[in-house]
This record gives sequence, C-alpha cells and structure tokens, in this order.
Amino acid sequence: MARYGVYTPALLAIAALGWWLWPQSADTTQPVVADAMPTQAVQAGQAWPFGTVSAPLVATAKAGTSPWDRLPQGEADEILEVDPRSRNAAISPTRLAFHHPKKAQAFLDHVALQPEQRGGFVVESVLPGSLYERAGLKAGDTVYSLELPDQPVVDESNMVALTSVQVLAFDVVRFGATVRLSTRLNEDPEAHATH
Amino acid sequence: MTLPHALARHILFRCMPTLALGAALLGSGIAQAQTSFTATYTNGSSYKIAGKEPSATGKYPVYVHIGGTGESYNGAWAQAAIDAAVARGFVAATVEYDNASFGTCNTISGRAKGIFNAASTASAIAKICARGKADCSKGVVTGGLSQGSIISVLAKNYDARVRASMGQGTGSTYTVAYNLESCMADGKHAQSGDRIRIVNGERDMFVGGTEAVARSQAELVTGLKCTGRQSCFRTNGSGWYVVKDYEVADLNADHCFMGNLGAIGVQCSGVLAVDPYYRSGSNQWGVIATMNWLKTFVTP
Repeated sequence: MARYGVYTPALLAIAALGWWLWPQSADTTQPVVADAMPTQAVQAGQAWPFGTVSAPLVATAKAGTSPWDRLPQGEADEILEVDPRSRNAAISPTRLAFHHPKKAQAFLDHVALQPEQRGGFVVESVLPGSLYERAGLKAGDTVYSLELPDQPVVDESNMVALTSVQVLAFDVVRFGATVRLSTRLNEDPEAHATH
Repeated sequence: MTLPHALARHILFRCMPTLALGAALLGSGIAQAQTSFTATYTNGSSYKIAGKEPSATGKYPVYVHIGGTGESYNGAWAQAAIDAAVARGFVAATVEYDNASFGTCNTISGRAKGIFNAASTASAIAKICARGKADCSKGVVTGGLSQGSIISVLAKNYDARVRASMGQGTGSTYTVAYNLESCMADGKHAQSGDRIRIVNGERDMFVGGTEAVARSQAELVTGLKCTGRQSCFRTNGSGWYVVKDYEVADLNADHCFMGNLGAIGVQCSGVLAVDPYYRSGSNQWGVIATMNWLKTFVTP
C-alpha cells in the first residue's frame, strides 16, 4: 500500500494535466470573469442587456478545439494570414470610438476582432510590429471602447492636432480587470513601452 | 439686307477668341484623355490606391502621391496633384496608408517601405508598376504633404527607381515632440538633395510657424542654404520655396497652403477646397511647376 501511496500524487498530477489539456468541443466556452465590462460598455454607449450589475459576471471568450488554444494567449504572434481590415469590415469605427473614428479605423486595420455577445470585441490577433502589439495588446483581450474619459478629445480633422498626439492609449479587459495599455508615438519600441 | 450679315460678322468676330479657346481646351482634353483606376496593396492590412492614367496607348512613368496625417488619401489636395501629374503624361496614383497618427523615423519608414518596397509584390509601387500603362523603368517620382512628404523623401530608400521627390510642409522637427533629423536631414536619406523640392508655407505652425523656420527646415532636408531668401533653387530646379501669405487666396500660407476656404487662422482647415493659385497659377510653388519639374527627371 505504501508503494501505491508513493505513485498516487504523480498519477493525480498526470490526470490533472491531461484534463487541462484535453480538447474541448467546439461549442464550449471558456469562462472569464469580467466585472469591469459593463462600465466600459456604458461608457461606449452600448446597450447592456443584463440589467443592473451587482456581482461579477461571466463572459464568454471564444475557445478553440486544440489544447494549445487554452495556453496563455498572445504567445503565438506569427505572421497573420488574416487581413484585419477585411475581417473587421462589418465593424463601424464609431462603435469603438465615436469621437475618434480615425483612431478606431487604425485599430481595426491592425487588430482582428471577434464581436462578443455583450457589445464588446475580443481580440483574435494583433499585427506583429504594430503600435498595438507594442502597447501590449494580446489575443483574448476584450475591447469595449477606445475612448478614454480622462483623455482630451482630439480633433481628427485637424492635421496639426493629430500630429501633436504623442501617446496611443486605450483600455482593455483582461482576465476580468480593466487594463490601460499605452505606448509613446514619439519613441521607438526599444526606447519605451508601458502597459 | 446687309445689317444681319454685319451683325453676324460682328458676333463671330467678338466670339472668335472664346471659340478658339474652347476648341483648344477641348483639343487638349482629348489629347490628355485619362482613365481612373483603383487598386489595393498590403502592408499588414490592405490599403487603397486611387489613380489616373492617360487613355492613349503607351507606357508612362509613374507619380505617387502621399497625403498627410489624417488626410483622406483621395481628397481634394491629392486629386489636384494627381490631375496635374496625369495631364503631364504620368500614371499617377494616391495611396492610403496608416496615417491616423504621426510617428518616429522608424514608424514612418515602415509606412514608406510598405508603399515603396520594390522587393515586395504586395507593395503599392509594385501594384502601380504592374499596370499596363505604367513603365517604372522610365522613372518614378513622388510627392506628398506633411507625413506624406516625409514618406515621399524616404521613398528612394526602398525603391531605386525613384528619381525625384517633392515635399510640402516638410521638415525634420514636427512640433517639439517629434525629431526626424536622423532620417530626414540631407545625407540621411537615399534621395539626393539635388533631387528634392520642398515647398513650405511661411505660417506653417507645424514645423515652426515662421518664415525663418520654414526655410531652415527646407534647408536641412535639401542641403541647400540661401540665408534670408524666400526661395532657393539649383539649376536643375531642386531646392525649396517658402510660400507667403499674400500668395495664397485665403491669405494664410500655413502647413497646408494648398488648401482654401478654411477657418481663418486654423491650420489645414481648408481641406475641401484647393487654392486656385496652387492649382492653376504659373508660380514656382504651385502644382503645375512642381509636376513640370518632376517630369524633367523621367523618360517620356
């Protein structure tokens, strides 16, 4: 018995690993706590269909059929086969940033999104080398709005005003928490990146 | 009985110049009949190309136009450049790019490479040169405004066929935040200083806001210094020109001096209209002079 007792923890560990890596069916979802999402959705002027929010919500993020899809996302930054602009063609820039449609269009040109049922967009992939990758955006992040209430509105019809912008910043929801991502436009990647 | 004949002769005589001018314009229009085209290129994402080419059979050199930060790639200012170029025998195209933000030399060079990478079949220049009417071995010339002018100057870094480049609102220091001297100063870009023509407005708040700064910025990029002068050109027409307020219709020679009917004092606000002196004038800073200069570097 003592001999079996020695092997039991190892067997349990192997079983747990196998359970964790075992492929799920295509229609299952991966729970993500997302209690910060309603605030962002309201700020973005989007409908929140679940009434008053008083407890942490469970969002659904797209899950693949391969166990590798459940590894921490954002690690597989290979060259994209998908054209983000084509993928996002049905998404109006004003959905993401009513006051900054050009900022939103640039985002849509570099980040492939998947609409999420509560009005947000789950990041599928980020163009390697883009400002958004530099800012720290990763697959699996959820974006509700690119507008930042604490940032001044930039007149996008004014070339000089646009060129004066030095920081690209936006909020995402990652593992249920709002995260501010940013990168300085007037510094090269190796010089600075904050997130 | 003679009165109607005299009246007819009188009317004919009075109208002759107008008729002759009309016939000449009609003839020139036929001679320069043109066809519009669109295409796309890829630089991570897909971007649009809009252009015009002569309808007449033949192969033509290429002009590529690049707009500024936030500017519509096929807006009024870009179209004015395209129209002037195609009228002078270019396959002319204006290209969209990631222009919602400005950037460092590294960032803007990436955008320039996406447009002008001769080694890539996905680049804009590859798509344009692949057109039946285009013959890029006859030469490629470039032009642009603001960030587009930086891309214009950097174009030769990525395509040796680029023979000359024009820039409007061009410098190395854009506001206090962006210093592009490492790629824009003369000798830091592949394009030779004597193949660059810069036109800056004296009231360009972007590169400085005074005639002196507009001049010094142009001098830095072209390597051609003429202290205190409004313009300075080499014998081949390269060099620079500082547009004065009194030379433009809205009396505001700002960063976007080619615009018109904008809000007084607001830089680049005349986005929907083109300054008539820029479009049609015989001055040295207008689009006609610019295209005539660029044409001297290509094979007809």
